[in-house]
Amino acid sequence: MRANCWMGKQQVRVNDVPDPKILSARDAIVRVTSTAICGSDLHLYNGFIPTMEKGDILGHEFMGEVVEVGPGVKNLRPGDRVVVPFPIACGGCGMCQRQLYSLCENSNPNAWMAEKAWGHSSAGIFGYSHLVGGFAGGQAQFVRVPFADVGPLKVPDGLSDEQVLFLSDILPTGYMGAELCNIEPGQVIAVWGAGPVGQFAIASARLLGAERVIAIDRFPYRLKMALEGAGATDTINYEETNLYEALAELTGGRGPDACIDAVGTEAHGSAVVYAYDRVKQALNLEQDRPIALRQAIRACRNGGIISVIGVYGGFIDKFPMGSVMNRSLTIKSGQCHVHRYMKPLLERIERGEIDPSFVITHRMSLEEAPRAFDLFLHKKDNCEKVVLKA
Amino acid sequence: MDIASFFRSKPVEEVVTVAASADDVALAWRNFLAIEPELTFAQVRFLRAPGGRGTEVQVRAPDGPGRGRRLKQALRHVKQIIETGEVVHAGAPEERP
Repeated sequence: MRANCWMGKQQVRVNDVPDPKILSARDAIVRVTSTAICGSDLHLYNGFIPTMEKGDILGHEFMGEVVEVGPGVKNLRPGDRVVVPFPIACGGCGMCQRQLYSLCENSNPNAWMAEKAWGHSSAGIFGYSHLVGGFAGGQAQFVRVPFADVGPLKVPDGLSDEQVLFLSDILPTGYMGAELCNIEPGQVIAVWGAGPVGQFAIASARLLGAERVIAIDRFPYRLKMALEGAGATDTINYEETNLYEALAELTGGRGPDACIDAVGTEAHGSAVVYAYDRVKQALNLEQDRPIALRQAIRACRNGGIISVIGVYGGFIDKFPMGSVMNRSLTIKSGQCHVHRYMKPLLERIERGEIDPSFVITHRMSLEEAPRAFDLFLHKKDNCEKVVLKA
Repeated sequence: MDIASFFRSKPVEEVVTVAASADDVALAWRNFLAIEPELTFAQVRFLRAPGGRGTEVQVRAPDGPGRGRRLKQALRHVKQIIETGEVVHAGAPEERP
């Protein structure tokens, strides 16, 4: 089969690789019909996530048709159309029982690596480095899906791939980011990053009753999409405006009730701060570049919530803990527990409350994956989200 | 390892929480001794985990080169088999180009 493989820093190539096989009773093989490039794939592409190996198949947002199931999978059969959640979860451990699926205790065969890095391991993830399992990803014609009796969600034929594909990651991730904010009527939510996850965090904050949602980015086309597609009420281009002054003005000086970091480890910011973090990151003195997170903390109102759904990999520097502690801020975070959100969000899509396809700007073939990564990384051609047809 | 050095060496200890009752874990334990040779060296205790979280499996074995790491891995497999019915694989390296 053909698959998009990580070949080194800023190098991906579509290679001929062996077809996946059923290895365990609870596996399924899915023929991929649509797959997407995630903003977090760019962290792999840029070499910021350790433990990638040449030839690793990328991709954790995918859907398709079940072609084979192991004898332990009773809820699926060949021909079913499914969306697959990006975390791999067993359904039986203590974390899965509490619906904290991205913390599954059994799905990362390389748990020892993650324990060294983070203290405890999180779940295995498709196509996202050996630190989280070394599983082959979904930017391919076929994928082996472990614990297929727990993860994949059957989707009705009446909905297009583009309407349901993002249930695999970015729609639930954005939604969880908003849910973590405990939104009450009348609240103001600020979202750092108007990439696809930021767009869905904005849309979800509106669905959950926020009165005002402020999108923060530096690309006008992304801010326009936030206003017209996601339903943001206000936008701030931090390259044109003083961010803190603009936020104060929009919130009567209080600051946003909750701030969502939908940027993560490769943030940009003012030249001086960006250069400081970029140099430390290059020298491996800090692994993440937490510019958006620092801003979110500083801007948030007293007693507010910081919701971190942008991906971080390791350590950060100059963390404003004094601001967090003295102003009673609460930081909430996590890789999305996708399984928990897929069905309720599918129902919202079916009821027409949200059509996630508004983020798609580029439709390409799997063979064009290297060009798609380049477009997405450099925000060429107003690229927001690429869907690859396998 | 001779018997004297067995008693002199510092033991390695590992613990894992399994989401199953102590009776079920103890029942399953015997089967693992055949497939996880590391465990035959170990003393084991099954303790009730607080908050209805199942059973804490504590093992203790005489130290040896790489013993702690192998014991930890064996316990992971025990947990995986009891909770999921299988040992989790990411796929064979030969599946890569």
